[in-house]
Amino acid sequence: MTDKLRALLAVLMGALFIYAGAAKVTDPARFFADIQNYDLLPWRAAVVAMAFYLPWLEIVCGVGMIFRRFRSGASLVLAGLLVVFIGALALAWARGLNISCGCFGGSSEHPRYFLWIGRDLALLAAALFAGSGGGKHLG
Amino acid sequence: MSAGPGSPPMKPLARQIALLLALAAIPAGASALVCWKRGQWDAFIDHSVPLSEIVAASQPVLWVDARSKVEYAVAHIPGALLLNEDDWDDLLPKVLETWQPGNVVVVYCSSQSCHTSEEVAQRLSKEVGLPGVQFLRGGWEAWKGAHK
Repeated sequence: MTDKLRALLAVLMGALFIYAGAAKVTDPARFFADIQNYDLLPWRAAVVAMAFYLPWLEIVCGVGMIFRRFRSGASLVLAGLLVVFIGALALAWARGLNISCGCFGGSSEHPRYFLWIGRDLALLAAALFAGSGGGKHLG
Repeated sequence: MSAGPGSPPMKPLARQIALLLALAAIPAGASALVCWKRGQWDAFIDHSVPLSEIVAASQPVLWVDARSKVEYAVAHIPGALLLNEDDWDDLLPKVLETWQPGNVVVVYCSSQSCHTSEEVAQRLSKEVGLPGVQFLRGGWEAWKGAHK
């Protein structure tokens, strides 16, 4: 039963991250501006690299979550990404920045840090649960 | 570090993670290349102007401070006018009243990593139609550093 729940959660997580990546991949300039607004990276080249790389990493890991063979690795990468996202959101919240999340492309009129961080924490727990106990096929 | 029973072996897991990270780099690189080929790279280029270049120019400069009201109240470049996106409609008329043809408008925010000056400069240029609007590289920190 737990295995079935884990598999279902992994597929849902995979679909969600494929959607999140695809929403950003079509407009890298927009995502670049979203990352810039966090004011975390003083190196423009690093922000440009992230604007192109992060959406594809989300898509690749989203696909990885769907296939059992790659689930463990994909869930750990996604968990790592979510920890970074939560940290960035918390810092922006603490600094009182009026920015868009940039999480699923698009924009929001007012920041909803509490909601965004809560959602990412739930996704982090889901990623870790979905990827756990999947080591039997590794090796 | 050894893996416990039921947990994935470390080496294949690390290999899997490395593979996923590398796989993502391929379409990312391709997408950057496509962007470059289509001439859509302008959004990623730094158009800020260094302070030395602004000082060297002979044209009169209208400084625009894109930071918050509080930061502006603490200190600002002499003669600078406050204009940020939070109070855009209230603050813009003063800037337009002060602006003279021939002025070079230079917008600044707090530091190298802030980007509000770029956004305000873009709005002044595209929405308001002011000519030759620039934004200062390094912002207020660069100015402070040069005027110690």
